[in-house]
Amino acid sequence: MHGPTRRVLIAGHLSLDAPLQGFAQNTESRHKLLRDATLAAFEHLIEGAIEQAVDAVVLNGKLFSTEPTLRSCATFRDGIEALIEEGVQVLWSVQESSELELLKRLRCLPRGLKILTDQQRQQPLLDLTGPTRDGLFNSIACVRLDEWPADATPSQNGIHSPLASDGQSVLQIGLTDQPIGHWLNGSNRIQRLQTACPIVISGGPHRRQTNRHEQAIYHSPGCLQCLDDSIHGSCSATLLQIDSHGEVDLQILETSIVRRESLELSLNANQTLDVTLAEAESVYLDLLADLEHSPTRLLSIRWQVRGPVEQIQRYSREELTTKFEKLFDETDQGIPVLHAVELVPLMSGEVVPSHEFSDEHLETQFLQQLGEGVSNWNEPQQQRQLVERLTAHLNRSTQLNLPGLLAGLNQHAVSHRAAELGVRSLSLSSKAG
Amino acid sequence: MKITDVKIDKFGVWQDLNLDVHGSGMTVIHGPNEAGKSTLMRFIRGVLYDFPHGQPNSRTAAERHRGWGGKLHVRDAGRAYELTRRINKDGQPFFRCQSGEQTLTESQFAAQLLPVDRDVFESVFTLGLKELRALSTLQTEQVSEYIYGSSLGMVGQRLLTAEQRTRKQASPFLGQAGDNEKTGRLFELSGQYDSVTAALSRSDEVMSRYQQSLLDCDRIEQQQRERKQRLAQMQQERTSLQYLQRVFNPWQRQQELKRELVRFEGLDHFPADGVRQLDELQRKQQTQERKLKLLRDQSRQVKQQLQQDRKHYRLRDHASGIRALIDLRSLVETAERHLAAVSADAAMLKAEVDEKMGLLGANWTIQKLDAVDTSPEAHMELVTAAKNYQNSLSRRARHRKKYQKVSDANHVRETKLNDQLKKLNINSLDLAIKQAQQRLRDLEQLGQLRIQESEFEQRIRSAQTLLEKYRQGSEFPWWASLMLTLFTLGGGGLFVAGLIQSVRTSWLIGAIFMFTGVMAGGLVAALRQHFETDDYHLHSNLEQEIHDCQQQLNKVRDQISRITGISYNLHAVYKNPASQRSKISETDLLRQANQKLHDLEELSRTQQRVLKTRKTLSVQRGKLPKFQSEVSRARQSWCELLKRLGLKETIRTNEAFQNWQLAVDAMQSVLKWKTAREDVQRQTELLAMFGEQMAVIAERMDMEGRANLSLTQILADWQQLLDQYDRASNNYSQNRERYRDLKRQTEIAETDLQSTDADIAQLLKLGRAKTAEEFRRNASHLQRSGEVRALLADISDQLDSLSREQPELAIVEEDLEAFNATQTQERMELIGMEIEDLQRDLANSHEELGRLRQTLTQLENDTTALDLQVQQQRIVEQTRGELADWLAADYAGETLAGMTKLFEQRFQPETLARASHYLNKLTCGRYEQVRTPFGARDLYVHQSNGKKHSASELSDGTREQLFLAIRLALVDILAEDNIELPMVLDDICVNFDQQRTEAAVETILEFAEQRQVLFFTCHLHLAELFRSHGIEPTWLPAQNEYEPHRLAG
Repeated sequence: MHGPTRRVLIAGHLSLDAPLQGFAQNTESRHKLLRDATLAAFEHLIEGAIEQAVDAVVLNGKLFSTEPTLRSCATFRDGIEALIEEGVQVLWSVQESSELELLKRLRCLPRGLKILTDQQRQQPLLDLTGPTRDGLFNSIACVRLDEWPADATPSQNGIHSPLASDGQSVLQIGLTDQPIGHWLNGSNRIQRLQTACPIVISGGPHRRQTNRHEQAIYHSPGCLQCLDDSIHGSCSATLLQIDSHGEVDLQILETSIVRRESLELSLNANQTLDVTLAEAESVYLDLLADLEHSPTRLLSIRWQVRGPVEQIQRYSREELTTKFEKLFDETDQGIPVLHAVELVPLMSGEVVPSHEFSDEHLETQFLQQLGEGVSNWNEPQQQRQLVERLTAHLNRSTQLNLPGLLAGLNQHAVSHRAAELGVRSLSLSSKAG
Repeated sequence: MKITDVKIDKFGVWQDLNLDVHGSGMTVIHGPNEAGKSTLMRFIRGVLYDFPHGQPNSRTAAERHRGWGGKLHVRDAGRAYELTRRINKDGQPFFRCQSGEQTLTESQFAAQLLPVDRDVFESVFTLGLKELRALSTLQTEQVSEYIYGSSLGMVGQRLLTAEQRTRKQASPFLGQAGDNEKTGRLFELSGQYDSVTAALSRSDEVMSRYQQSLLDCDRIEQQQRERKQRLAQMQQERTSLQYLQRVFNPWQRQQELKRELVRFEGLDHFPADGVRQLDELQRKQQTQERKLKLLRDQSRQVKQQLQQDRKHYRLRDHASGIRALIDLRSLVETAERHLAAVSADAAMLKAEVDEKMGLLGANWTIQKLDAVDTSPEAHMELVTAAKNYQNSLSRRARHRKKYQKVSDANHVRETKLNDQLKKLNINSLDLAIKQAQQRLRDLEQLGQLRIQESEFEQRIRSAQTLLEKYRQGSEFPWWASLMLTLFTLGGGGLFVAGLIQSVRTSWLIGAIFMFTGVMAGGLVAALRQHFETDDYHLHSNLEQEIHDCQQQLNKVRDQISRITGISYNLHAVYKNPASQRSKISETDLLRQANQKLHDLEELSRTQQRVLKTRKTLSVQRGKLPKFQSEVSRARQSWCELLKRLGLKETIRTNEAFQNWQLAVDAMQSVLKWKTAREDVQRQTELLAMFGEQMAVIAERMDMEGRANLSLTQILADWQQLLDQYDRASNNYSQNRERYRDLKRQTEIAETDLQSTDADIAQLLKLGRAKTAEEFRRNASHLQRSGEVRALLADISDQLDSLSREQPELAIVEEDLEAFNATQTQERMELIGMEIEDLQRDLANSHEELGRLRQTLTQLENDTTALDLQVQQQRIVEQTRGELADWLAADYAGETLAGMTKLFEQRFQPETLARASHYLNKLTCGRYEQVRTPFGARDLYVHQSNGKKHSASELSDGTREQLFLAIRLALVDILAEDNIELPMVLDDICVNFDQQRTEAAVETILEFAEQRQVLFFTCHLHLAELFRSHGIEPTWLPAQNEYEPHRLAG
């Protein structure tokens, strides 16, 4: 790094007060933790910004993922004002104008917050002290790149177009709502916009992502706290360290309080339960090493246990879950751990003709049939029939969104569960026989 | 078992009935209604399985008391049985089963019929329309086993159980099917969700309450601002009035004092504490005069002392040089000690060098030693060369040793081999092995030859025994020969008698006699001819065989003799018990031959090894010069290296290394000695330089007679002199300093006295007085003026303080001059009341604002809605999880059901497969298949177009055709288990249409080709139909022709 360095903390989606998905069991005792997880992540962002002595914080994502609550608005206001009182510049690139309107209406718009909207597309962020020479930047500004008017010039509407920025004295951080892929293969105009901004921050995806393309850095900080199990591992904000040459260094500031992880176990033929549990412990301990300095207060692990049919049929999901809950109920730091097990029976690769029924190949045959049937399950007609079946059974109206629930099911997980149930039933039937 | 005959003594309407039944195939019995067809069917069933109580339909007690019963003639497994069952007049049952001379008890007979018991027979074999139509007759355990479950198998059972288990896992989500009261997790969860959603909708008012509270806050804050403004105005006015009140009195007093002060003008510059100053200055003047006198006396005394202390000045010029030398005293002492020590070391090292040079040899000098290269590189080179030299020596020694060892071993092995060959008298080992192998093959063949020998011997013995036997039994017994002779004689006699009779009485009788006689003679001749010819052929054959076997036996024995070398004695073989020993010796021979072959092969291998070792030794011998030249080269390079390094040449590496080590040690000692010598020289030079410097200083100070003292001792003397000089110099300096100090104090005292005189004059001048008394008088006037000024100052301070307290208030003289105390007090009271009102209102609004802000904070921290959302989310997650589980179980169940269906299609019970064939025929191809789902006792028929119908959905006729097909199939299946019983059908086609009736007739006829069927019908067209197919019905007369009162049976 050369020259004076500025530290800018970039945060993506805050999703304040959005309920966390995927926690169906044992949540009464952890109700508050799950309820306040997103706020806690936001508070961790504020504390982190103060501890790291950042110069500025840039918010480029949605504040709310669900219906906003008063508490979340007030927390946002208090947190941002605390940062501003500490002398930190805070800039918010508004993705949803309704969020801005709501904050104004509820008088929760923090004083001193810099705002980027479609009307106000550029805001200075920081000055870089030191002599201005050729090839050096002396200030940092943020620019909204989305829906930039095609004929925008510096004289129009007071907008200072990044295309016409005054030489190289201003380092422009481009902010966009679009995913990174949109910019990597964009049109010429998009490419010109990118050229003016060597750093492009995407507030689109919830997953953290970084790409480098033609001297530019494309980074998506993701969300502060994942809401569902689509993201495994930590969620975070990103600390940009920028010097007057425009050289950028990216660091991660973990913020997620509830962390989800996916671990895989492979069962070998004739492997005993003790060996399986020992392997699980090894994988689990590797994971705990990563958690040593993280703010995690609840860990949710999804175990995917794969193995040949004859191994998988010896266990049930419930048995293994109970075992894991007994063995790994909490970490050394006292973080409670939740476990969910998915058993995946693997076929041997041997094809058994569907009309041949032999006792020893019945499970394999079942998996084959199941695999052939899986492709049809997602068809709209099938979904419709299922909804009709459920509705007919209920025999009354409900606000429970059954079609949505059915459509949102992870078909892989369902098919794995079906495979587990079928194989295990066949196994038990064999023992009963 | 097939019925061949029905005999009814008395049963129902039948009496003394004797009905013939076809032993196999179809029997059609036609009779009008009430002809007794059903009675006949019940009779057959009754004889086979006992009559139930109340049978038959006896209309009167008299009939019942006459008893009933009859017989069935049946054939089973080629045996005929007569079955008699009767109920006598006393109601006692009677049963008999007779098969020739064998009689079976009732239980034995019943056991023969198993597993078809009475129920199975009734439901499958004897069918009336009623039994045919009833599905329940096919649902008994035994029958069901055949129809539904006989081929379920392990796989089917597993599939069925697994499907049921999986379905059971899915059931908690939707609850049990058919529940009137809805249950299941979906029902519960949706209910919970709806409740939470309703609660959540009620909590939406939080936002509106918050906004309303914000508006209220704004309103109250506006009111507060207005009240505060008014309050400030009132407080300002009251403060102004209070200020005026407070200022008025001091202002009035100030005016009075100002007027008094005017009288004391002119003493403005009189010193503030002039009298005290004057007193002090006069006291000070007296003290300074006394002090000045004392100082002047002391100065004189000190000056005299200084004059006396000037003697030490002689050493002052050289003190610094001497001190510098004395400072080096410790170094000089150290240098002198060091010189003594290194001189001793140098002497010892020189002795050590001389000793080590002596160890190296006589010719070694230090110059030669310096020429030896003892660097690490040289040492490494020496080590490498020594290692190479040692390695080459080792390699040569190893090679020689190895060669010698192999050579010795090979020589020993070769000697042993030659000894053994000589001992065995073998010239060519290969030839000997070939001979041994040939010998072994011969001995192996010997076993075969022995067996052949035994075989031929056995054949000869058998043929001889047979020949002997035929020889003994080929002739007629004596009584047969006698009979034949008598027969011949009788024939001749009869012939003669016949001739006589034909002449005498009748030719016919004569001819008979003659013919009988010819026949007897012919018979005897034929018998003899026949038996005697056979014996001849047999004899010749046996003798020929004995001859052939003997020839073969001789050949075999020749071969055995050749192999064993023992001539064969036939008699000895048969009679000498030593034959067993001979066999034993053959085994020994075989073993010996084997052993010999093995030994020869071993010798051959040894010979090969000796040859191979010779070749190896030859190669090794060729390598020896190479190792020798390696050693020479290594030795040469080793010697050259020693020479180059300056060491003594030797071929012993140990000695070379010892020399190296001695040279290194000597060099180190020489190095140390040289270093010590240089050190001695350096120290000596250093001390000499120091001594020269001291001599120069001593000369300057005129100090002589010290040449016999060491430098250290001289320095010690000088130190004492210097100490004395220091003490004198210090005293002189102290006195001189004291004198200077006294002079300075005297000057100061004189200056102070002059200053005090000037101060007194100045003070009198300021007090406008010429004398001290005048000055004191002016001072009393000034005191009063000061008091007035102080009072004025206080009042001014008070007024200033008041003005600072209220800087914003400005009071002009006119206001004070126009001030009215009463009016001001009244106005202030009015203002106070208004201020109190305003403050009360403000406090109230503050409280209200606080409440509102608290409400806002509460609303901001309110998590009710959020709790509900989290709860709602949890329900959704639970539903999602359970829905996924249900769906998974459903998918698994569906997949298993699909497999079960496939399995059903592929592995239907045999009974239903056959029933499908019959149903297809009975329904003229409309229905192709009969199926039953696994785990259920339901029947489904499949049309050719793929449609499926349950049995209950079929028309009566089709249903009856289905049940008939199943029964025909069942009879087939039972027959394959060797349970064959006649099938009795009683007018079962009454609901069939014409086409299917014809199809039924054809089907039954086809069925009857394998089984026995008794078909009863009252329909003429049916009987005619059978007749058209070649089956002549048995026509029963109508019973009412001779018994008009009988009702249907």
